[in-house]
Amino acid sequence: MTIEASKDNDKELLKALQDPALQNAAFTLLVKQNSKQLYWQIRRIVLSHDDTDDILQNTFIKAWNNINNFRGDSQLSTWLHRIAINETLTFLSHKPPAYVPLDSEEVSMVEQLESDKYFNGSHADALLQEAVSRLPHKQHIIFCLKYFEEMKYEEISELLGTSIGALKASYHIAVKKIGDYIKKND
Amino acid sequence: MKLEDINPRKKTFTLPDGYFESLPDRVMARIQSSQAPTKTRPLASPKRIWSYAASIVLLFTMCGLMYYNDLSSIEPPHTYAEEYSSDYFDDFYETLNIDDYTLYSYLASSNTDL
Repeated sequence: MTIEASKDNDKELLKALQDPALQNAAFTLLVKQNSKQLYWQIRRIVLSHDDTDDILQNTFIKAWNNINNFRGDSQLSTWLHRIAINETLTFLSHKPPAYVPLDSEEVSMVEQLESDKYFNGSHADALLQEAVSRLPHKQHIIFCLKYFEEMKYEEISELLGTSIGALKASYHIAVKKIGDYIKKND
Repeated sequence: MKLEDINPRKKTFTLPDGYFESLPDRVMARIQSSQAPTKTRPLASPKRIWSYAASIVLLFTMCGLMYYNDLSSIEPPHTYAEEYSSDYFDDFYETLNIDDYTLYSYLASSNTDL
């Protein structure tokens, strides 16, 4: 069996990943196939390229360490997205709160983004990111997956293990909060 | 400004050139560095194991010798029977059986200040 032949076949790729003779090449292929999608999913949540790079590498390392426990109940890409979401949630929970008091001399997120060499959005884009970063962690992730990634509720439900009803409610509350924040701070 | 005015699909972020091309190698390098065998120091060389064994045998032998020497040097328990004659015990027994009257007479006849 060649790795190239198994490119579009999850089962073949999984077999190669669990075969010591093929796993290095198979894993390189897995990283190549999934890195872009995972990168942008993480980047839209954590914003910084360096943080995204750390989370993405940790995601692949966790996948490598647990590949023999993966039984193929879901697609490999879904499994990777789930690991990435968990890693992102862990990152957000250890990150200091994004909220900066109005009288603080600290630089606001809008200012931080506007001075970031890897951000080329407008002031409105930066303000949107600031509003999103103030949401509770899980709501933050739900909003990003729905709004930026345009994922279906069914897909988000599979990733997060949350009911579709709860996801819809959380998303609509998030939209309302962000709308209010933008209106207030524009 | 409203949320609807912002285009969610607009590419607002960029990343370093060649990032995705170099990512697989960097991930594999991290995996391999975490799997690198750590230098394990053998517990001891065979020569050292033999010297440990000899020391333990020597220690046990010395302890054994000291234990048996101590046992042989222990004297048998002191018996008062050898020190006192059987007459002494007879007198003592008789004293214990003395009645009150005899005791009073004895004390009255002797000039003891009580």
